[in-house]
Parts: sequence; structure tokens; C-alpha cells
Amino acid sequence: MPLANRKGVLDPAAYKGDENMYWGWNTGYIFFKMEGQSDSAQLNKAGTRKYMYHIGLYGGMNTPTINNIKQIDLALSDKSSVRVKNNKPLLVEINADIMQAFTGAGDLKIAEHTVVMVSPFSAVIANNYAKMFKVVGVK
Amino acid sequence: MLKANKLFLGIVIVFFILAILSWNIEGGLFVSPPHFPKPTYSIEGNPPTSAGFKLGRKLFYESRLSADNTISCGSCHNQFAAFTHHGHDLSHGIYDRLGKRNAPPIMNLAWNKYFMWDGGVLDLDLQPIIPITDSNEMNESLSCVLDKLKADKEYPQLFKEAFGSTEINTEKLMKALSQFMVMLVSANAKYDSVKRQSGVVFTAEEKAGEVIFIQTCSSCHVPPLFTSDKFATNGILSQQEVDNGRFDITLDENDKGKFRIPSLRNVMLTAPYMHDGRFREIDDVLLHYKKKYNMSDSSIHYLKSFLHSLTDQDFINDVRFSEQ
Repeated sequence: MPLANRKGVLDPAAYKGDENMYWGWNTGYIFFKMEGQSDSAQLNKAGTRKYMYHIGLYGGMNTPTINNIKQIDLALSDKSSVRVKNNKPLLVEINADIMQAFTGAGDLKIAEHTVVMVSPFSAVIANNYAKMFKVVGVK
Repeated sequence: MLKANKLFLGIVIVFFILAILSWNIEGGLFVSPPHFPKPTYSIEGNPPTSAGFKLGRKLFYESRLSADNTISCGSCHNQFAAFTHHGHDLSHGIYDRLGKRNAPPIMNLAWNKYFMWDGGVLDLDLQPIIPITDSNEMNESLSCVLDKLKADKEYPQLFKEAFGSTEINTEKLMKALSQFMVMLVSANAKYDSVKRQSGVVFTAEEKAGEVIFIQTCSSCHVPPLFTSDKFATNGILSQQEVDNGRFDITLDENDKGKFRIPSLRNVMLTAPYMHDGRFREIDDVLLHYKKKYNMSDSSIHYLKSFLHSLTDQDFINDVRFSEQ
């Protein structure tokens, strides 16, 4: 995608420092980023127990890579349909359950996978977080 | 009859002017050497202008691109060494931090399909983001760079001259750098003079070297760019090797230890060699390949003569490319 089309959140300068979701060295974007401290995390070279999950990869341009792009369908409610009346705005409330990133489809254990960025295990986390969204209300 | 001639002449002149105008709009200052293929970079999408090129040059030599305002692109890409970091095996960032790979030359980038040793970048306009943000190089964020340039007295006006408004954003910053970098064309070595049949001829040794080169080296280092823009192992990896190269990008086991094949233009100026700068002298590199391909001493001698013919003095002495 040419730079002219990378505006707003897609602008590589959109975020500062750790919040940055642009991936420079293997050009693309980070879809899911989670970092923190945990007693279960393996000790790193800096002597801290920090876990880092940066999940990206879109399938590659010229050379095929892992594709972690997920398209998900969310059921709106138990009722069969939702109607929009008289151009009134409809509020769809979506909850994200972060625990699903660890248990959604396969198990992610911080002790076993302390840092995941581009390894094949990224696909497991992507399958997990794809299950984290749920519609909890329609008003 | 005279009138018709005049009319014809007028039409020809109008077409001629239109042709010049459209050529200027399409390619700007950029001229592709006749013996080179079509550039990969979309020159039409960002045609170098005089103002854009000068802005790009100023940015290339701008140390405020780094976190502590100490190093610029030009710090590690020295013109006299064909825009490599002479004498440095690994790239050298702020606070004396060292990267893991050797700074490659900046030349003929308009023809690259891939950038960086691992080919992780596919668009020249996105390449500068890596050295700017890498903690072992300039360790700066793009948004901070933009803030610094916006606060400067000169830059807003220079961006206006180049791109029509004083606004400074990622796109303009990168496009200005690209305008400078695509203009860094090296196509005037002795090799080129010989190929252009301009009266210059190879010596007997250079000629013998070219024959050996074509037989042994040219499937990877394809003339006239002297690279195939593909990835290969060079047989120098050991079990202790820590850099997986192209594998880091594709996660394909077959890509382990593969790196982008570098161009050999100006190779006599770009020591040290290989992705990690492990070979200090060209003779070390030639010795490596001598063993690999079981070549004779005389073959290596001729090959070296040929490689000398790839040095482009005009390129490394062109004042347009120097820090002003």
C-alpha cells in the first residue's frame, strides 16, 4: 500500500514509542499487542520477567508467510433479527474477553511462550483472540 | 507550399514542447541509464524535482532524525565509500550501539524489489522508518521526527517548495528522502563506458576477468545492476550463527541464513564485506569464493581486475550527492 493511502491509524507515525502498531522491519501492522510482567514469564536478558505478544503477519506480498488476519462473524442476539427504525442509531455493545487470548482455541501459557511475535505459534494466539468478541446487547 | 511548411514546423515544435513537458512531469530529474532495465520504484508517483531532491538531501544528512540528534543517514552511508560505512563491520547507532548487519551501499535503489539484507521491506518509501526507529540505530519515533521538523525555522518552507504546502507529514518526509535516494544512480564506471562502446576498452586482464565473472558469478550478480535482487546463502554460516536472515521474514526453513544478494557495483569501495562485515578486504572475499568454486590464482587475479572496472568515480565525487 502506497504511503499516500496510509493515513490516520495506518500512518507509521500515528503512535509514539511502545504504542506503535506499525511493523517496520517486516512491513505490515501489529493486529494484537499485549505486554506485561508475570511471575510465570521466563527471565529475559535484562533480568525481568516480561511477556510480550505482538501478533501480525498478513500472508506476505511476494513470498507467502503466515496469515493471521481473521474475519469473524458475531451473532447479534437470540432474537432472529434487529431492525433499524426511522434512522435512529443502533447501539451494538461488544465485549472483549482478554482471557480468550490465552484459552480461546488453544492454550497459551506464559511460562512456555513468554515472547511471541513472528514464530508459528503466533497463529495459535490469533485463533485465540479471534474468539474474544461477543455481542452482549443491542439497544 | 511555404505556408504548409510553416504550419508543419509549428506543429512539430508544439509536439516537441509537449514531449519535453510530459517527460519532465513523468520522471522529473530522474534519468534511467539506457542500458538499465525499467525502474521498480514508481518514479511517476514521486518524480524528483529540484526542490524535493534538495529537501531529501538535507534530510539525509539531518542528525535530528536520531533520538539524541547525533547521527544522520549520512553517518553510516558515506559517499566516498559508495554510501557504506567505511571500516565498520556492523551498523553503528546512537550511544555507540551496534546493529547486527553491515550498512549496505545506497545506489541504484530505484531498481530494488527488496530492501534490507533480509528483504523485509518492499517499498523504498517505507525503508527509512527502520533505521530511524531501530533502537540500535537512530532509536527515534517518527512522530518525534515530524515534531522536530515542524518546530524548525527552515523545514516548513522547504516542504512548501517541494510539495506545495508547509504541512509536514510521514508521506512527504519519506517521499523527499526517496527523491534524493533514487537520484543516487551509479552507472558510469569503466564497465559502463565499455558497454556503451564509447571508445573505452577493457585491458586484457579485465576482459579475462569478465569471462570468469560471467561463468562463475553472474547468475547471482546479474549485470548491469550486478544483483539478481534474490536471496542466497554464501556458505559462510557456522553452527553458532545467530542471524537467520531471510528466515526471519518468511519463516521458511529453506530461507535460513539467506541474505539479499548485494550489487557488486563499486565493490572495491565498500569494505568490509558480507551481511555481517566479517571480511575486511576484498581479497578475503575472493579467497572464500576461490575455495568454494575451486578457482586458480590467476582466475582470482583477473576477476579482481574486472571488479575494479565497476568503480564509478563520478558517482562518489558528484557534489550534488554530498552534504552541503
